[in-house]
Amino acid sequence: MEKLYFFLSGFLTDFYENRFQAYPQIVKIAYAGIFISFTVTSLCYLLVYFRRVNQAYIGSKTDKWKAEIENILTGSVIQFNSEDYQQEDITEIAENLRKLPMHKYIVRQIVVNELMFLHKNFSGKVNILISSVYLLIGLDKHSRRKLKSWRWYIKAEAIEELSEFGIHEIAPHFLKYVNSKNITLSMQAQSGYLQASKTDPFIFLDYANQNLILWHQINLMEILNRKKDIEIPAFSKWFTSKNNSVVIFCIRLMVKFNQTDCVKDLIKLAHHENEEVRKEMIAAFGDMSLVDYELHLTIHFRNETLPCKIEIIKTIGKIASNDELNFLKNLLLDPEFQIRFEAAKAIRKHGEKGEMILFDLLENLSVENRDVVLHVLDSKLSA
Amino acid sequence: MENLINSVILHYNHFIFIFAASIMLWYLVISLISIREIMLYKRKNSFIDFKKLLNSPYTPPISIIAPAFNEGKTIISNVHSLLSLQYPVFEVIIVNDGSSDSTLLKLIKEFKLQLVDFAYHTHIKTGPIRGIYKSANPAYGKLIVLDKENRKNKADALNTGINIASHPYYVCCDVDCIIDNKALLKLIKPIIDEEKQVIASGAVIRIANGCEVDQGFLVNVKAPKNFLTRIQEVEYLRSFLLGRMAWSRINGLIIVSGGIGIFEKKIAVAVGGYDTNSFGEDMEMTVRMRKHMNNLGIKYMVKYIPESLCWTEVPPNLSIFIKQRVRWTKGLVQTLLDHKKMWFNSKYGRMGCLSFPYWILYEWLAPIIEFFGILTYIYLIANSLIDFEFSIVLLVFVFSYAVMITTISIIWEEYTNQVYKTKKEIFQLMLTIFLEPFFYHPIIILAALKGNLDLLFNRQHKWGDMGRMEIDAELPAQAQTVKSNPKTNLGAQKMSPAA
Repeated sequence: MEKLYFFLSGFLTDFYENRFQAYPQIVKIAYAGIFISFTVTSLCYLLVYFRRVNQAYIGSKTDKWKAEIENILTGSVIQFNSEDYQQEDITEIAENLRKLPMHKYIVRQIVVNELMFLHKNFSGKVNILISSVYLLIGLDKHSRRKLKSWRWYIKAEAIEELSEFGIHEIAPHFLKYVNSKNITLSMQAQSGYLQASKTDPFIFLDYANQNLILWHQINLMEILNRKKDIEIPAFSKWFTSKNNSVVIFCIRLMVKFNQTDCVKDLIKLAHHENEEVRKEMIAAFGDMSLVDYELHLTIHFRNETLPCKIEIIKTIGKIASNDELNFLKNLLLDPEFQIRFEAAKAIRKHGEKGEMILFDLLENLSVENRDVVLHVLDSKLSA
Repeated sequence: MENLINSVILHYNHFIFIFAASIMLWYLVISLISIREIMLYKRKNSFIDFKKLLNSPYTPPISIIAPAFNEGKTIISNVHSLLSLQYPVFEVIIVNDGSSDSTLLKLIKEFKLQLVDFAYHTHIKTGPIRGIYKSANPAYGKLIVLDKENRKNKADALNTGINIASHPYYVCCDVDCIIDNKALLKLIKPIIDEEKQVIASGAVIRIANGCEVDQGFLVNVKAPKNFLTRIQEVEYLRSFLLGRMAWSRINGLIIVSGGIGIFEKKIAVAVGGYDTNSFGEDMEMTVRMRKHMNNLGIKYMVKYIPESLCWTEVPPNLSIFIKQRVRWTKGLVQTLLDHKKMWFNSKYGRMGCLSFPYWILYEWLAPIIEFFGILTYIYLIANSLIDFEFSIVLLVFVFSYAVMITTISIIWEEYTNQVYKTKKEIFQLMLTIFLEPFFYHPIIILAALKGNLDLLFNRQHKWGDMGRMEIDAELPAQAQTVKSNPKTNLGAQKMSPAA
């Protein structure tokens, strides 16, 4: 071994002093490149190997801790889902959890994740019990520390944890991230505020100056479906917002919570400059079955863009009051295919009467329009 | 005269050197960019619960368009697999592209299909259609089968599918591909989660050869055993995880593979659909969609996600492989030449000033430059015009650098999908990298040259015959390994450039 060492060091010294230094610059660079490439490739191999080994080790440890945590929590959750619990019961659960190596970040995080899972899936007494355990073990401190991190994803995790367990006083801190350039962090801040704020959970809509993208809206809707204790304001308040995505979201919320009192404000949006807002407004009429406004839509029809016209036809089909069948019949002669097609579908949605009209029309229509009518009359296609 | 030749060759030698240095630098840059993009995707995704999309009425509905030509052997299991994808509202449009085998009959029998009076409207001009079928069984309500005359190209079949698609987004895929169950949820995510309008999005395509498949569903992922398919897996990983992720990050992506990709239907219709004369219809379409958005002055993006959502069979033998690569080269060159006005044109932003120069220099011209470079090298050695030792050092450097870059792409696979469960499989894949420059790369060069020559001399193209997976839908439900059958001659038109 010693011989090999001397041989190698001698060879390398000789190579460096007598040959390498005499090489042209480009060959020197090539040698350095070979060395770097070889080192990086070798590191990649080692990385794969150690990552796999580490994964297996961490995986087994995590599984063990998870099983222990589940063992402590699941029994209590099942028991207290039907029975009342005392403060001592909470203390006992907390004590059992404290027996775990809570000084380790990974263990604390597993406990938080498990508690979050149960908190999301249980309501009532168990929900409160889990929040109490979270606070009693001091895991809120763990989350608050994460909120101070410079990494956006750690911050986002912290917001998720603190809001899930209803730490109300921290909610105002989330507002500063509502307009973060990082859209995931801004989404977490919006959702977090909605869940954590006790006084005015929708106030973040006043602050939002960025586009409230569809994924964020879906996320917020899901929270509203899950958390029934969130105070619901009149959403027409935001119909005048300069942020069009906020207006659209609020129209959707107005429909979701069937806020018929807001309809008079909704109608004002008919002249909104943004096509998407007008389209959402029209769809809202259909979703809320506002029969009285059907005529209003037909009057607006002529001046609207094609997507809004189509939305109006769909809305009349949804309302299906029978009052606007003539309007729809006339549209079957429109030069635009999509309008003819949607008009035929809307007539069909009027039930038997609509079907009768379509059958009557079949004989007098052109071949192309007859195809449209036959299409909508085919039950396999309209299913 | 000899002096002149020597001078030209030496200058060419210098040019090759600068060219090689620039390509190596570029690969280093895209490796670094892709790290950032993949990490960002992974971190963003840790906050995603796809169940929310499943339960929301606001999740945009999707049409899946899958052209099928003589897919009788596998069509039933493949359609069942497509129908079982997780997504709230979607339709599956199978375009039977004039199959001469039992594809349509099998579909009619299995799904109890009946001809319907479909109001077919020609948004995009296509070849004649023979009929549209829907199932009498409401359980298959999502399925529409369109039978059309074969026009010898996939583009026409896709355009017909777009004409009957009723949803605002469509996913185009090869019917024989195995699609991940959550693929639609993952593909729509970038579209609804970006400030800018996302007009198209793609995902990583992986190799199904060697995997265990049961009735069109992927049961067990295994690394390909055949050397040619395994080396293609390495190439796909490098291409998708390094190349496309980096291009996605800088919003310069000009190809979303035909294997799996989601597109905004409105834009596809506005640009007149897929080009039926193109050999690389997927790339050509992406370029035209981007051009359209640039011309309108609307901010937009084309995204890629680093997840393996589609598993496809790749050519198992050399002759089929070369045919495929020749077609890809022709598609690439055709697309680049069709859009000459966009080259180095600042009006088209990054696409004109970055993507096109890259594709021209490093994808189209690189094999040609490399071929002449090898000839020059041989001449220089033969005439003792080059220091042999130094040239070997430079060659070893290029080799070790290429190995390093490809190894990094395998690392990204480890960090993102980790589809291979055993260490052995991943190390086998990594060892294959060392052989790529000797056995695989020269074939790629020759196929690219042939593609260029075919296009130059206007030689007629015959669609590459692909061996088809031996999965018989009639067999009992038991897991079976995908074996390619090089003897089957089905004339399938597979996805285009993975480069």
